This record gives sequence, C-alpha cells and structure tokens, in this order.
Amino acid sequence: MKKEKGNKKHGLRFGLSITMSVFLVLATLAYVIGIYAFGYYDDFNVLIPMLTVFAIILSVAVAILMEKKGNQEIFSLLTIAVSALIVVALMTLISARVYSFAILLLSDLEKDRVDGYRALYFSIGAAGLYMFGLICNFVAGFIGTKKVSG
Amino acid sequence: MKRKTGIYAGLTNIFVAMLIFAVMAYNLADSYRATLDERLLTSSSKIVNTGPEEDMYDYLSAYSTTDELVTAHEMLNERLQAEGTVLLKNQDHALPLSTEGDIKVTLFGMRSDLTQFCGSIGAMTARVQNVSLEEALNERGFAVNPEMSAFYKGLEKDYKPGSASSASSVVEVQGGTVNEVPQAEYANAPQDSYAAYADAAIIVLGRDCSEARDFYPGETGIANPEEFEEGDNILGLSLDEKALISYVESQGCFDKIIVLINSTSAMEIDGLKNDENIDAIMWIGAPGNYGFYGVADLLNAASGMSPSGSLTDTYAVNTAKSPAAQNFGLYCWENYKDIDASSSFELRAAWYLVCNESIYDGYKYYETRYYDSIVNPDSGAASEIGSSVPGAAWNYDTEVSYPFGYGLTYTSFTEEIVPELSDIQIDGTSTVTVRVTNTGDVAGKDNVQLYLALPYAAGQVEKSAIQLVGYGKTGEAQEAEGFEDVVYLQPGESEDVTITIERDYYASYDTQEGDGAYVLDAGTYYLAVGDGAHDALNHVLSAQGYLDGDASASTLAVELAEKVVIDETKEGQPIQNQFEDCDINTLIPGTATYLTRSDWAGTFPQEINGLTATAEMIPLLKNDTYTMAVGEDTSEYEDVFGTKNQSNGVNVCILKGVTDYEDPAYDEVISNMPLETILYEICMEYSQAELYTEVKAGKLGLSDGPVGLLKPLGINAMGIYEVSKDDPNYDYNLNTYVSPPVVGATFSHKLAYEEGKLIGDDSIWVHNTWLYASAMNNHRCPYNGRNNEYYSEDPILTGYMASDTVIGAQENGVVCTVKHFAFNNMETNREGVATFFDEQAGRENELRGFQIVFEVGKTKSVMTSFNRIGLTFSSADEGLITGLLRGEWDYKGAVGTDMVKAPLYESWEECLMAGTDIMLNTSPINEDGKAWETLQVKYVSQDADMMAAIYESIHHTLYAFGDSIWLNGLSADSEVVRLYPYWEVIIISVVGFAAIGTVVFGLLWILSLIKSRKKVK
Repeated sequence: MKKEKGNKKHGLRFGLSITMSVFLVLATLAYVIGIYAFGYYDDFNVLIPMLTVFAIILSVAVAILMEKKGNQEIFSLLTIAVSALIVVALMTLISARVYSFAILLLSDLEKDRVDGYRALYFSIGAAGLYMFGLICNFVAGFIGTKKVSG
Repeated sequence: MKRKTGIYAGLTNIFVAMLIFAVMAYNLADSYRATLDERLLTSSSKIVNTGPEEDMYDYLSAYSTTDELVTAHEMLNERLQAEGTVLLKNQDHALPLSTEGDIKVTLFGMRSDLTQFCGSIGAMTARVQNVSLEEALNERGFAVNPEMSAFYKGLEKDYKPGSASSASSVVEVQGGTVNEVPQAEYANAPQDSYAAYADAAIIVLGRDCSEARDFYPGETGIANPEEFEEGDNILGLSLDEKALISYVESQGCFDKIIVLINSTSAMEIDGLKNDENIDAIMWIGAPGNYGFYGVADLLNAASGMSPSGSLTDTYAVNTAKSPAAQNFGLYCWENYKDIDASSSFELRAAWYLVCNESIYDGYKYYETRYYDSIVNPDSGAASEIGSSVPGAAWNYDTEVSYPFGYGLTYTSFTEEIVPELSDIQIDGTSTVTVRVTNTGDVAGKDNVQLYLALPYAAGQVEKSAIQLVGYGKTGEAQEAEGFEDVVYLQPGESEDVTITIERDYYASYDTQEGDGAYVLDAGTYYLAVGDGAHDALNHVLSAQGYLDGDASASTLAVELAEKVVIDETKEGQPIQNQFEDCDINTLIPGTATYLTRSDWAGTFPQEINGLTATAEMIPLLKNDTYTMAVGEDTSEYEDVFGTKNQSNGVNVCILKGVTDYEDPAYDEVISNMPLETILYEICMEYSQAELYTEVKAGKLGLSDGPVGLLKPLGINAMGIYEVSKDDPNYDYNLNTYVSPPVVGATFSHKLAYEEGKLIGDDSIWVHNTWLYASAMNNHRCPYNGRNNEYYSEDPILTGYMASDTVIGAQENGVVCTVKHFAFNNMETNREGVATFFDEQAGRENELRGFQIVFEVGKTKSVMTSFNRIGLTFSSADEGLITGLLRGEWDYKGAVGTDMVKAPLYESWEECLMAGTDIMLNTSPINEDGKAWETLQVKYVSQDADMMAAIYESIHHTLYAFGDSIWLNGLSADSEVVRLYPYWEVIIISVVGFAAIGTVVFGLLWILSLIKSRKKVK
C-alpha cells in the first residue's frame, strides 16, 4: 500500500515534470516567434533557450530517477536548481524586453505597430508560460517524499 | 516527519526562486533607475547643504512664486501665437470681427474639437492644460455655438483626425488618412442653431504631424482612396473637407466664413485662396496650451491686435511637384538582405535616400525657377516638367499659393532700405537699416525680412535667385525687457529697424574651388525687402529692369569687384570638402543628376529607386570599422582619471563659472572621476551624474524638448524652489509652448530669446540642466511628419530662431542640445537611412542653420541624428563630426547621439573615435539584454587612441555642463545623500523576505532531514 502511494506520487511528479516541460517548450517557442514577429523585439538571446533546455532535461531526469531510485535529497536540490534556471531564463527574457515594452506602451512612437504588438503579446505569453512552468515545478517540489524502504 | 520534510523542501524551492527573481528584478530596476524615478515621480538622491542655500545658486529664476511662473507661461505663449499666426487672406477686410456685445460664431470641422495642439513624444504639450479654441473664444469676447460643439464631441470616437504614417524600420509604407466628418453625419447637425451664431463660421482644417511618421506624395500617401479625388495628395483637401466647405457656404446665414489652418506641414489650399466665399484664412500651426488665446484676440477687433506673422514655408499648389518630393519616402537597397540578414534590421542598413534637388528646396526652388522663367527662359524654367498643370508650361502663379515669408496685417506698411544708415560689406558683416512706416489705419507690428540676390551666370556654382539673410521686427528695440511690453507702430509713424547680416551665412559653397571653399562671385548683389521671398524677388527684378515698378526704396545694389574665395574661417580653421562620399555618384557613378538652374528641364530630379549597394559599400554599411587595440601602453592615463570610491578631495564645484575650455580646472575634476564611472555615463547619457560621488556631483536633470520641459513642476522642484504639495500649481506641467513653426513665424529675435529665458526659468525651478531642444532640421519637404518640431524650410530663420532660444536658455544655465545633427529630414526609416546629397546643398541648407546656432547661439550640446551621412551613422561620420563640427567650426561642447535602439548600428567605438561623447541610452541594457560589451575598463585601457577619445569625451562634457544648473545649489561642502524611493524599498523588502524564507525553510528542511535520518538509524 505504501509503495503504491509512493508510486502514485512519483507518477504525479513525472506528470508535473512533463507538464512543466510542455510549458517551457511553448514559452521558448513564443519567445522565438516574438523575435521574428519583428519590431523592437529582436535579437535572439541564446541563453534563454539554453537555460530552458537545461531546466527541462534536469526536471525530466529527476522525475525518471525518482521513479527508478526513489526519492533522495539530491532530487529536491535539483528541483530547486530547475526553479533557478527557469527564473533566470524568465528574468533574462524580461530584461531583454522591458525597454521594448516601455517604448510600445508608454509612448505613442509605435502605437500603430501591429507587428510590434504581436511581438509584445508573444513576449508576454512566453513570460506567462514560464510562470506556469515554474508553478508546476513548485508543486513538484512538494511531492518528493523521503522513501523509507522496507 | 516525511510530510514536513517535503513541505520544507517545497517552500525552500519557492523562496529560492523568489530570491533569484527579486535580486534580478532589483538589478533590472537599478539599471532603469533614472527612468523609473522620472515615471514614478520619485528621487534617488538629495543634496544636503550647510549654510544659506541662496548663496550656492549661480542661476536664479526671475519668478519667485509658482503663480508668477504659470502666468508667464500663459502670457508668453499667447503672445508667441498672436505674433506667429499668419493671416493669409482677408477679403474685404473681413477680419478682425467686430460687433456689439459678444461675437457669435459657429465652429466647423472635426479639428475645431480635436485640435492638434502639439507634436508627439518629446514635443507634446500637457493635454490637461490645453485651452481649446472654443474655451479661448468664449473667454475673449465671443459666444461659440454650443450645440455645434456638442455635435462634434458626439463624433469624437468615430472621426478622430488621421495622421501621417508610422515609418520606422519598414520595407513597405502606408498612406495616412484625414478622417474629416462626412456629409452624411451633418443630417444630424443642429442646423437650426446656426442663425443665432452667424457673425462668422470658423472652419478648422489641418493635418496631424508626429515623430516617427511621415506623409507621402501621390497615391502612396493616401490610405483610403475614397477620401480624395484621383491625383490629389494627402496634404490637399479631402473630399469630406471640400464638402464641409460647400456645406458651410450653402447655409447662407453666416456673415463671414473664416478658415483656420491647424497644420505644421504646408497644405495645398489653393482652392480656399480662390474661393470667393471664404473671407479669411489664418495659419495657426500647432498652438500649444495657450495659443488659442492669441488667435481669439487676433480675431476680435476689440483687442486692438493685428497679425504680424509670416509663413515659414512655401504653400505650393501641388506639394508633390517640388524637386525634393521626387525623392522622399521608402527606398531599399535591392540587395539589403545580403547586407543584413537579420529580420529585425539590426544594422539598420536597408534604406537610402538621394537628395538630388541640389540647393533648390522650398522657396529657393520656386523663386529661382520663377526668376529664370523671366530672365533666362533658355534654361527651361518654363518647360512642362514639374508643372502642376498637366501639359502646361510651368508658371509661378499656378505653382505657389502663398510664398515663403508671406503674411498680411490689418494695417499696411511700407519698407525702405536707408543706405545712409547702412554699412554694407558683402565680404564681411553688414548692418542694414530699414525704415518701416505704418500707412494704414490701425496700429500694428511689421516683421522686416531682408533678402539677398547673388549674381549668377552659367558655369558658376548654383545660387538661389533670392535668399533670406536676416530679419527684425518693429517695436522690439523700444520694448522693455521681457515679453509683457508690446510696442505697436501707430498709423503714420515710422521706425528704423536695423538688421545685421553675415557673409558666412550667404556665401556659396564650391566643392571645385581648391579643396572646397565658400565663394562670393564678382557682380552686383541686391539687398531687398518685401512681404516674403516672392515680393522681395519682384523688387529685385524691377531693380534689374525685368519688371515694371520702382524698386529703388526696397532694394540696394552693391558691387563686388572681384571674386572672393573663403577657404578658412574667421578663427583660422581651414575650410575644405567634408562630404565627398555623400555624393552617390562617387559610390555608384552616374546615379544622380543634380538639379541646376542652367537646365531646369534636363536636370529636374528623377526618382532614384532600385539601387544596389556595391561590394565596396557593404562593409561601410555594416558599421564595424574600428577594432579596439589590445595590449597598447596607456600608462600615461593612470593619473588622468580618478579611483572609484577614493576621492582626492577635488570637488566638482570648482567648475562654477569656468567657461574656458583650456582651464586646468577640468583636468583637476577629471582626476577625481573614475574611468569605470565615466564609461558607464557615456553609455547612460549622464542620466545618473550623481554616481560621481568622488567629486560630490549632484543630479544633472534632463528632458525633452521643443515645446518645453516634459516635467511637472511640483514633484521636480527642489532646493530653494521646492513646492509645497498644497500649492495649487503643484501638478502644473511645463510643456506648454507653441510649436516651433509658430515661433519661427513671429520673425522675432526677441520672442525666441524670451522663450529660451522662460524655459531657463522652468529649468532652474526643477533643476533641469540638459534640454533636448531646439530641434532645427530643415523642412526639406512638407511631407516630413516631424516638421512640427522644426522651424522652417529656411536655414537662416531656423538658425537664428534656435540661436536666440539657446542664448536665452543658456543665460539661465540650461545646456541646450540642438538636434538632430544632421539631415534627419524625413522620419521614414530614420534609423539608418543612408542619406546622399551634394556638399553645396548640404552646407547651404541643412547645415547652415546648425552653423549659426554653434557660432551665434554658442550652444554647448548637440544631438546627432538617427540617419547615416552617406554610408556612415551620423555620430560616427568623420566628415560631419570630426571635420566640420570639431574642426572647421571648432566646437568644444558635448555631442550625444539620439536614443540608441540598435547598438550594432549605433556602435559606440566608431562614434567616440569620430568625436561623439555620449550615447543617449536610458539603460545600459539594450534589446539584446546587454550593454556594449567593450565599453569596460578592461578593454578600453588597452587602446591608447580610445583612452584619448574618452578623455576628450569627459572634457567636452564637463565644458558643456560645468557652468550650468547642474551645480546650482551645490557648494564644496554639499553632500549628496542617497535616497531610497518606495519602489526600491519594495524590491529590497521582497529580497529580504525571500532571503529570510530561504534561510528559515532551508534550515528547517536540513533539520528535518537530519532528524529523519536519525530516526531511520
């Protein structure tokens, strides 16, 4: 019974990891589309997808290892690392876009720029998806239980 | 325990993420500190003084209360508008209006309700303070039909006036719209109310200008073809505007019909001029917060005021037919994708513009062609090419509705040059006295425009048949200091107006004369006065015997026996060609034929489209022409700069009153300024000058723009000018001024100076050192969407207007940044558009105004333009910055860029090496998320030339700002205290909260793990 409960939790953990990965992939896509939507939202920053990919790999790896080896402290630490990677990616994106947001929203310089707003929405969408991914990882962080064998 | 361990781990996870988020957010906010403070009305530093603060102020405002300051804004702007409004038509003395009691009027046109008060972005007046036409009229002796006003208010949502088109970084442009109320809507208009408000119908028509937008000639410029007749231009009247005129005329109840032109782009209004049912036309430009009071007073006879403004641009019948309009708009290199493969045009290298009209912009074209059509018909001046009437010979009368400098008054004046009171030195400085006599029945002011016709013969360098060389205005010599005293010339009275003119501002530039030089050809020079350029030219033609009439009083002929070559400035700087690479023919031979008056038909500009950048041009378009040296010996600079956080005791206040560039005080201050801070400020436009803690520098304070400081008074007022929150003017906004074309139309040195003085007073109150004005690009074409910020199509008027404003402002300690240097003559792809021109045209039109403001106005700061000069970013162009500005004009002040948006294009190394000092950038974080990487001590300290350029940069900057408002309220004993605005406190609190959470739950997690392990054991 105990083992079933543990497996169930690990299944949920795995599911959350996959969900988080989907959010992050979508976020990266939105970011990239935002760049190519043109406007002030240009200049591809390779750090953002790189951090995202690391976060996904790490999260999925943790989920798989938890399935196989059960929960260990290191997995909780790695979950925190995943959060850190997501936050850094998110803030890098915001840092690179905040000037553009300001130009678009606070002045009428670009008020009629349809492509600029399209890029803005993609950027906001990307940031939102990163947040959802982060929340998934937060929830996952609570799921890990110390497996007591036997 | 298991459960708790999981909870602690989860909470630790959240708090760690929160901590990282908050720390990064803090860094981000810190990098935007200046912008955040400005937007959130907060402050991050404060000066604390010991002793009486008044003693620490070198610049004091003439106004001691906010009420006085606000009243000054109202009065000056009312006067600027009253003297800058131009009466174009006044059939049968329809104006001024006069009745017993209130004058009852009905306003027509969507712009009577949604008026263009100002430009946009940096040239925007405070909306909440705008006094509408209706409000001003009702306050100044009129009764405005309220039902009609309500009718338009009800239509605001559907018929917001259209504007020029957005045109930044595009490969396709769209036209603009007018969006005047269509006739169908007038079925619901309160027609029954008209009769009760029928002393006059006032129709307001206009076009909205804006930064980053342009109009375009022909079909391209029209977004909705249903708005116009086929073949019309966006600057012509739309079908709905024409229908509105007919509608008003058809009412039959209005005693008079008056049209107000609310536009800073010259419109096509020949139909209105020739419409006998239109009694009067007034150009009002963009009136700012209080300009309509001036307009109301001019309309009302009871005020006793008379218009005295004149047009700053030619009003052509068909604006698309001018030579400049043949090349205006979007032109992409055919191979632009090979130059810059990025989808975002990160190199801003895709576009070009060829100005092949030579010197013949604005009136210089229309008047010169007119002259040649009479004097030299063989030149093809009367050929069909460029004619507004298809198939017909070019004829001035069917080309120009109202010439440059034209303007009526309610009285009449005669102007005569008084030779015995004049001292003419064609090859030097002359003073010309003009006697003005009021020959009419009412008092008024007359602006005196002095023109010069230079001798021209085939084979000589191009010359305009007439050019403005100076101007003055009656009454100003008698008026008391300030702008409250107005002296009118009474009927029958005469006044002598003396105008000083300068050789350097009318000599012609000849690229073929030696290495390039200004020349004055031998022959007869005609000084002439008149009501505008055309009138003056007719006087010259009369004096030369080509037209009938006696021009002996209005012209003065002066002989120059021998050709004069000017190859060095009065200060001894060499004059030589600087812009050979800006002639497209030197890069792609045979591309452009420049217009010459010896062959109008054969050289009239053709559109230059479809050019391909050559292999030699592409590296220059890519901008990366300077590579930082590595490992060079720069030890000579070790003691030149200061050390971070280690003050040597030199205080910035030793610069108070220092105005000599060679003064050793600059070096002393620099020796206490750390290189890393200097580099930071270079890329941060000195928005955080208080970071120079070693010299105890305070806040600098900077603001746009051409219609006053974009700052509210109360929150920004500081020191001895601090304003209480209870003060009724606490929320007063200082951006109130009329648009620059209205200032230009006053033809008043005094009023431009007074505007500068008042902006200076504003700046003293709010401690604003750095003003991004005057804007002074030439109106090359009426299609430039940003003409609202610039004065005129004429460089002399532009140069002196800007100079007077700068002198007034700088007397009050403001550092004026004239802009946009240079050739920012259209907004379409302004970032990076490669602008080609011939050097003579460049020097005699666009650059001449700047030359005046540097030499006469002594401006201490200049902002470069977004565009390229030829192939090179303006700030990095050695011809413009190194050769002309720093060399020939010997300019020592600060050169800054416009707002950096494309760091790969606006690359700092090339700019600094050319003589630019500051990169205008509100944050070190650019779009790619990082500052220019190489702008760091570890890189620049390996490049000796760059270290020299950086030293020059800070030297120029201190020279510009050392003796200014910056040091107002500071003394050697002052302390700059760091403040923590609420947004910073919030972020720091979040950082603290997250850190505590991380530590607490991290420890609990570890403890729970230890406990559970013990339990297992």
